Amino acid sequence: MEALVAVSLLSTKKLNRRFGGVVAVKDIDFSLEQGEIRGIIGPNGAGKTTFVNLLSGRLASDSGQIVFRGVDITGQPAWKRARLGIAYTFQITSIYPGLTVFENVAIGAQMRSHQSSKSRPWTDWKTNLEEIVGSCLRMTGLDWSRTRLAAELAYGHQRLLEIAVNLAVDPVLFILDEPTQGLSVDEIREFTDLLRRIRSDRTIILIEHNLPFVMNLADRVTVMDQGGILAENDPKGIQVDARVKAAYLGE
Amino acid sequence: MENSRKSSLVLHIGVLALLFLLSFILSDYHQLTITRIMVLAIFALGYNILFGYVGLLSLGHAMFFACGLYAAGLPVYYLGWEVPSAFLFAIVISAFSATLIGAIALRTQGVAFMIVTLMFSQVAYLATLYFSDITGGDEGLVLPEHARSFAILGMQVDLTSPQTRYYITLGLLSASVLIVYRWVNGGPGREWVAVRENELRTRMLGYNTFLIKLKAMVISGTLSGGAGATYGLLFAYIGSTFASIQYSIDVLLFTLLGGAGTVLGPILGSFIMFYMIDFFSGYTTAYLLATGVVLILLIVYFPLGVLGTLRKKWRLWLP
Amino acid sequence: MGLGPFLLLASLEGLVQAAVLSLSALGLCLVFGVLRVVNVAHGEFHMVGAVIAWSVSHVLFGHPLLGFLVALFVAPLLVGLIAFTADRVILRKINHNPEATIVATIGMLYVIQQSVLIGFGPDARAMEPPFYFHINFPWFGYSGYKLSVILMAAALLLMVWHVLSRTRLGLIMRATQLDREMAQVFGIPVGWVYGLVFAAGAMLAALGAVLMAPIRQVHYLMGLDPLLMSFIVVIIGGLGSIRGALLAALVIGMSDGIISMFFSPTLAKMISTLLVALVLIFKPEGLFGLRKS
Repeated sequence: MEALVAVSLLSTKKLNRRFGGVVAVKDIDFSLEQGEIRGIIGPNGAGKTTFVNLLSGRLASDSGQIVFRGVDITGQPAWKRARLGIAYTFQITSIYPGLTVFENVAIGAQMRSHQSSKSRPWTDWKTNLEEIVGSCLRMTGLDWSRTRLAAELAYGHQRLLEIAVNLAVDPVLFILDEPTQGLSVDEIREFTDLLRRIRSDRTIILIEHNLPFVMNLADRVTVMDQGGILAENDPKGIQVDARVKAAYLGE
Repeated sequence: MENSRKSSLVLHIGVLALLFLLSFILSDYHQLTITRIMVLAIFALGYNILFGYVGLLSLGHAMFFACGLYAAGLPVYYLGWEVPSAFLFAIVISAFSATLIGAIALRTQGVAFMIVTLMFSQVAYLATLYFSDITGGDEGLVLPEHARSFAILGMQVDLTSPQTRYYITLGLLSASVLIVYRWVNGGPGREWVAVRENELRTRMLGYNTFLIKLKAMVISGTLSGGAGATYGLLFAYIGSTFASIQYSIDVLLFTLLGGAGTVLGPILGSFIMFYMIDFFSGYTTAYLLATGVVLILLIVYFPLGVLGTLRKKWRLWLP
Repeated sequence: MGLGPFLLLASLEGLVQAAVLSLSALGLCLVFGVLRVVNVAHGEFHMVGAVIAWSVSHVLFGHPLLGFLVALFVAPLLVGLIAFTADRVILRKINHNPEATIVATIGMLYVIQQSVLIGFGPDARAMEPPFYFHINFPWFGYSGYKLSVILMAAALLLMVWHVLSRTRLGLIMRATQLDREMAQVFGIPVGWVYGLVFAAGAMLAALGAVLMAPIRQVHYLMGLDPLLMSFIVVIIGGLGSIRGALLAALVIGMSDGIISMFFSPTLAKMISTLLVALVLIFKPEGLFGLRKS
């Protein structure tokens, strides 16, 4: 039992959420290990986005329990969960369009002053902030665009910027909601490389429709259907699973 | 960026220095006018924190101005308090009421926030009328003779002298400008703008956006209350006109005109609008027509105001 | 006068108030429902309606009834025209953005009010009632005109109800309210609908004002009270819900008459404004909960 708690970064027990009469997420038991990349796939309306919204705290669950790094976070607001290390990128890119790229990332970086030491002197912190922003921009390849307005960036770059903003917070768990949506083939390739670089010390949940992308990256894949978990396995196992095929192809 | 930051600081200090130099050439009458404008500018500076930086449009800031006005004036009138203690008391009370009102009103946003602040302010205004036995209602109260001077640090300050009032107000304005300048260029300003530009994103990054908004509201309300207290104590008069909707709209107008979300904008707006209304009221009793026309023109054609438009057009770096 | 007759008098006064209030509030509600904007200048349209009524009855010689009947058509028409123009010239330019619209309509409030101050002057003026007769109850006599106001308002409300629920125009309005983009796809000229609804809202306020003008004095600041009362009604009734607003108008109009007999008007206004603000914060769906989600 103890060993299980130690390796499990995040787990849910009997998690539920309805919208009016519709059950969007039904009795989900889910467990995520430290350091893995987990893909979550499933047909439209399977409850994937609702499920990760329950994890990030954007939505409140009706019943059930969520434990993150040994802490019960079920009742905590989204911002507290973010401070514990859960980052979330939206299905529809959500950045600060009216601010420069530098400022966008700086907002994320400034979050660290809330998280960690209060003893850090302000002047030190300022140079530190520049360093964090710089490294996040270099990592996502956006260094050239520092002084541009975020709104002026191409769509693919805006997606990268959202990653950079979240990276600056230094999260433990990254939840990416359909990150490749609307990206070109080249951009997806770059994105894959970026995620491989990020993963070195982080855990990632990936919601995707782009199956080749998921199968290529994920260590394990969870298949959702009708609000519940249909199957969970490594990518190879999922690809040969008859139930998954049935769900996708419609019995 | 470092260079433009420096030059913008020079600009802000330059404006304050200019106001200082003006005091040597202005007649008593003009000193009095500019003293009034500078008090209103402090009010607008406070308003702008909430509206310009956090993006919350309050239609009820007159209640904070009036709160400071009465919290300073009433103890002087009834309890014989000295000016400095009354001023400090007003600051504390303003901060307290802004916290209370913010904690309730910030449960709403957008249009509902506008209406709720408007209504709270209207309640405060009606209260000043209803309790006219105490407040003097519409006619107001003239503060007694002992409040026309005070001693501080062994100096005797005479509040009937136009120069003295001018320098006191300029001092308070300068302090406010420099504090606000520092904030909007530092951590607090970044959080305010983050809430304005995308509140959900900011919350999902780990910021307690409600607390950010509440803090901004307290700062904004306290500055507004401080302006109210200054007005009441310097001109020795408190009255319910200062709590009326008119004052809430005026401060919005000053901020919009000068440029919301710039430190100097509200100050510039206060100057332009004050003189414009002064000009029109020389011709007609319906000078509020000017207020209406300017409000419509601004919101339709120049939502960024004077400094906001300049900043965008030439990509100036203005905080 | 005993308590019974006293209450009867109070409720009659309340009904008159409620009748006019429901017209004005319905206008505000309609605009909010379809355009999703709050019109702060609503009370000024009421005021302009009353001023036009006074002017028409003043210019036309002969029987006051003639002037009243003409005003009943001319006032809403002119006010509607002003409102339509304002929507096309100002509100359309800011895309009916809810927050900007409030600021713009505050500007309109000043422009209208101050223009009337220049043209009409600062004095309050009385308008002659279209007819005089008293209905004699055993305890007191009551103005027949006031009773007819209740009937006229009820008739007008029925007409509006019919237009909204039974005609093509009403259907178009409801379609626009439900889904602006979809309405556009189906070829509904949304811009025009917005202009017309904004005008219709103002016209309802003006109609109420024409009915009210012979009872109350006509004055350039008379718009503030109906604005506040309409706000209260629309919020209590549940934003944008017409049935809720009518019910709220009835309850508030009635109780206002009774309350103001016991409390000072300032205190009554203070408490009601505070309560309504709290309703907006803690129960934005209104108290009459007729509106789903």
